[in-house]
Amino acid sequence: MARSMWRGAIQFGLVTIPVRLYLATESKGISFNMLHESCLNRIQVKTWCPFHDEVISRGDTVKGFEYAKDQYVVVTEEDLLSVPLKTVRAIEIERFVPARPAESEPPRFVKQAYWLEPEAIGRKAFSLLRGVLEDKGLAAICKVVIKDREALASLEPNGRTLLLQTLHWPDEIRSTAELDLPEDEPAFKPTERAMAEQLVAAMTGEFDPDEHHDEYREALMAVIEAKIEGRETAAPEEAEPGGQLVDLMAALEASVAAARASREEGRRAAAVAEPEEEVVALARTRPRPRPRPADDEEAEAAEAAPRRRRRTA
Amino acid sequence: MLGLTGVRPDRGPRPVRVRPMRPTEGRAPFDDPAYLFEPWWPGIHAFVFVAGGRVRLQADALADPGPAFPELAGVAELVQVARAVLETTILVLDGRARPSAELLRRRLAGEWRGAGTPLRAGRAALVATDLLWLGGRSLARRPFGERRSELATVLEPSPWCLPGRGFVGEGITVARALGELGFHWVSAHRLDAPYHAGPAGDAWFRVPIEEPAERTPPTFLAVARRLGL
Repeated sequence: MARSMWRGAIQFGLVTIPVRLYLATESKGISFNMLHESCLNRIQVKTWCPFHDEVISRGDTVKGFEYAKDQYVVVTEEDLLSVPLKTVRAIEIERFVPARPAESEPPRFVKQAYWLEPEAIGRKAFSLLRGVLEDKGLAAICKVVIKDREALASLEPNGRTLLLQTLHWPDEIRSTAELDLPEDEPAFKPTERAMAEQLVAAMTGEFDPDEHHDEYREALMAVIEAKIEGRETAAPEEAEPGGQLVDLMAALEASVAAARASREEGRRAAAVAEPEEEVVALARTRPRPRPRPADDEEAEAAEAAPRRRRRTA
Repeated sequence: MLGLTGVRPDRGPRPVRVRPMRPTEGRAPFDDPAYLFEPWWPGIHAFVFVAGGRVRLQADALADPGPAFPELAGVAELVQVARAVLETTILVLDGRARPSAELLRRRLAGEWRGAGTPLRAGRAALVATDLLWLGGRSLARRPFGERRSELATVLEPSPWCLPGRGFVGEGITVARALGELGFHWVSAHRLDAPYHAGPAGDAWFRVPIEEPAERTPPTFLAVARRLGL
């Protein structure tokens, strides 16, 4: 596990549970470096002051808040540390709520997820809190300051630990009022509704994250690895006009003929003599409503066979 | 021209909508001389209404697939009567002339440049499997074998639009052949069965070529198959 990125304590009432935070997710996107095209050296981004017309170091910068056009107030690290927030070193639980939001509640828009790890001194209380939340189906709504920013967060049990998810503040969530949405529910035919429900039902299942992967990243990595190994990379075909239906029908004919031959060979090998029905291809031949046995032997066989058998699923 | 039923193809009432027959789910391929076996085409099931040189679709899909398949307007030229209703499946074929669910999805998603120029979206194809109306009369009471034979006379074959190719009696052989081609289901129509709306009973089966070894999450193609699309 990587280094913890935050240390503090879960606090509610008089309870304090020292914990560490670890990022629960990481980006697997493929990133590129910018190179100078002529020499292929990696370029550098310098911090440049236009007033002094010189390159400066990061250490020579301070934080400024633009309160008016080109007017800044400097905010120092001391200013940030002196912010009177109870949540500076704590995950301050404000309320326990159902872990799954009710339909009437607005959705919880997640920013970032963190795993919690209890400090040795807080393991028992940590397990107790986790167990109670799990048994009751509850999550905690809390506040926490991470990287100088106070965040709204939810805390809920996940396996043997707790998952902290920072949430967007309500005023950060854009309204849907600007979207062009239908005001009235369109009238659906019962068959359309039934079809939609059938489609949803057919695709309903458990969410298994392992079934999903980033196909674009995999394809891009294949291109990169091919270039590293000096192989040609195969560009996708620009035009895929597709084959003809007649080719498919021909393939079908050939495949049936091959399967038929294979089956007959198997029958001969098994020394089982079964009369064959004449094969009738109605699609390209004149009407032949019912297949008729080709000779007397087949006629006997056809009569001996049941005319129709019930096939059930 | 008189059709199988002796009616004038350009007269009589016009069907507005067809209530489809729903196939019975079969368990395994079987041989039976009373049945016609053919591929269960993995595409969009659609009734094609041809009248006065125009084509209208009634598709088992949540959205009208017509705009994604402008080629289908050409069906009117292939149908040798003024008015008919065909039961069909719309497919998109890949470069190997195999039905592709992915290309079908991309077609429906709008990867289409128009003016007959596909944008890496395969080639559209139409397989007709039944003829339900001819002129002003329904053929629903006619046996499937007769309807199918009449279909072969009404629909002029073209490289992209054909009557289905079926095989009488040889369900197991056809299933093996289709398995080799990557198909997953066989369609089995009873030759003497009329067409009727709703559950097909033993008139029409959709039979899996192989029982799945284990339940897997439904893919788009599997969902489309289950819906009869």
